[in-house]
Amino acid sequence: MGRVSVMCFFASYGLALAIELLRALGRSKLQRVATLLVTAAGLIAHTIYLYVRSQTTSLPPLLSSMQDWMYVLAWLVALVYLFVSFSDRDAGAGVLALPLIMMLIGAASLFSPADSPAADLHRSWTMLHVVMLVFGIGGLLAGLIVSLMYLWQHWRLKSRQPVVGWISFPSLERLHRWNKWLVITSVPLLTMGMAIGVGLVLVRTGHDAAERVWSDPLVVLSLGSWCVLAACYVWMLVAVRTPGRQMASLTAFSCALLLVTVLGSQALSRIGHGSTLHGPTSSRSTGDRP
Amino acid sequence: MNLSVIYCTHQTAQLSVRERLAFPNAEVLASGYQRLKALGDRLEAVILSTCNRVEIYVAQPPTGSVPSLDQLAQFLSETHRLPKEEFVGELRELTGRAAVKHLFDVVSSLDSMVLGEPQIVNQVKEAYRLAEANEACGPLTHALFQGAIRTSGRVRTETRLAEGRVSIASVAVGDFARSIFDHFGDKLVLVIGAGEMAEETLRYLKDEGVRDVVVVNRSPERAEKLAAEWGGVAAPWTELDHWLGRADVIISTTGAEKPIIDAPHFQRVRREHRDRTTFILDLGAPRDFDPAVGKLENVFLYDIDSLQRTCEDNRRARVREIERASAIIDDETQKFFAEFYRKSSGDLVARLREGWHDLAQRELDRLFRKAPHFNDEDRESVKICVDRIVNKLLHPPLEALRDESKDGAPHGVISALKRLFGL
Repeated sequence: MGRVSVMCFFASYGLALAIELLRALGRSKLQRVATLLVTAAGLIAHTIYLYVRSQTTSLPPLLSSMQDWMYVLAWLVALVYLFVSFSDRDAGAGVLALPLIMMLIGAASLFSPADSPAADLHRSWTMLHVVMLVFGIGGLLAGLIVSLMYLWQHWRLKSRQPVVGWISFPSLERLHRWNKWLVITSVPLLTMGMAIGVGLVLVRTGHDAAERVWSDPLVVLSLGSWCVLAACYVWMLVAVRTPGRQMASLTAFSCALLLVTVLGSQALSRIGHGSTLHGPTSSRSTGDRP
Repeated sequence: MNLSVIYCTHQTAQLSVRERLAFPNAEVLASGYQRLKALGDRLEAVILSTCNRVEIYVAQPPTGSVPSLDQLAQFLSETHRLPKEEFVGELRELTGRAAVKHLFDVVSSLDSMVLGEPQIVNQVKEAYRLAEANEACGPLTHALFQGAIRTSGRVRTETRLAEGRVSIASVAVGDFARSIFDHFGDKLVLVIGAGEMAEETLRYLKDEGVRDVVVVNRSPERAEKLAAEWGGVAAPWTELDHWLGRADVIISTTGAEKPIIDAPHFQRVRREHRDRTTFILDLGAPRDFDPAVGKLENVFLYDIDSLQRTCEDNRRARVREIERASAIIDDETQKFFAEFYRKSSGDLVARLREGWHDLAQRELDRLFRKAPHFNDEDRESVKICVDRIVNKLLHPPLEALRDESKDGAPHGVISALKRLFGL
């Protein structure tokens, strides 16, 4: 099991994407089965990798490092993609989900594999903070895929284009329903995750906390994205009917903003253009932990 | 091979001829099979009768001969009580390999009016089932129709001949309405006008689960007739705006000379339900809805021109698959004949083997009568020895026959064996 590397599951997802793109030459049951099998193989390798990492660091993957955190996020998206593909054979989400999964795995290399200082203190609260954020962001990433599918389907229907065999998405009604539920479940998770995160910072850093929180680019930009999402959330709850296209556009925009925020702020902090409370500890290495 | 087909199809005969030669129900079909049986003791037959074709496949064992075109025309004439002269010129006949290939073309929908349409395979299966029920099938027709169904399956899975919808109504519902709505059970369908295409669209929508249908037409009688037929309700023309405001699916086919609904009108009547998605299928020519209506938010408007383009694209895509489908049909025809020759030479092999073993048995009986001192063990040893000699002698001609069968009909070897061994 220890020989499973990132390349194993990254290559599996890449191969699944290549098979998915081969649908352009003609759809067949065999191709669908091959895509699902290769993705499932990738997911198994992905799971084993995360398990081995958690054994090595003696911490759950979500607490060990920001890099593992990203791998968990990619793992969640892969799991949702497999579930959707099994339950709806025409979903055709692979062309969007697989590149996103690969992008998350690739983006993980921007992060340090070193431990997060947060792991040491208030472990239960930190775990809750991270779990809620990861599930919230995972749901929003799924929402991003669903929204993009909605917008593409909407464009096709408005411009009266026939169904393209290899890009066959579910109906607008179904995509809107999925999008709505993804936002409705993800935003509260994200909100609670962020609130716990702010609380943890206040406890950890004492009187300097407020200043440090508001100077952390990750916190500030995440909060901005969260505001857009919260507006979507309130709109969905208040309005009797929410027009699908606007909803999908807003969700796609805010999810993409959140993604860019998280990745961008980490990239900036790594190259020294900003300080973040979510950066790695320089004095520790992953192997030091008992 | 004693196999032939006589047929008239949409490509060879007018509908007026085809409908008179059709077998419209089970009674006429049963009476047809009874008459066909009278044409030969061991005659096998399958009648395929659809709105686009009437075809009679007949087969006989090698010793018999199949009925001629004239005999089958006479059969049709007597069954339908029609003068033969009125239709005999419209009939076509194919025999042997051409007849097999014709059936494989038909079942694969290469010979259909709408290329790639899926109904024909079920019609062929049903014709085969009814022939079996009427005890009209035999070994050759069983092999032929099972081969045809297998061929159709290969064409369907290995080519894109059946992909893409090719009628306006099916494209409207299958490619567009189903991409908008997840289910139709809770959708209100408004039909404006009562044209034929509206009916066809309703048929597809009913298949999708539509329950609520409202028909609005200037003529209340026609509205009521259409509504009754599809389990809906008729509404007077004066209520058009009311139903326009509530409907989820609108099918319009009024035949008005200019658009009856423009964008401001539609916005006004949808004021209370403006957030609801609406699918509009404008089948009017000229159009009933101003194209500007399609630019409104949550409105998806399709007219004949926009759907016709999709139909044409799909038709062209199907035509591009004909070559691949034909290659599969040629391959299956080849396989069918290889199997047929293998089986038919199998009969010859059995007869040859049986004849020689009979001869050997008779000689053994004579020997055993002349040598009563042989005990059971001696007799068994002699019998085994003779059987082995017979088998060794049979081996070279049977091997030659098997080799020859691989490349087609082994007529030369078969006739040589028949002459040499008096079969």
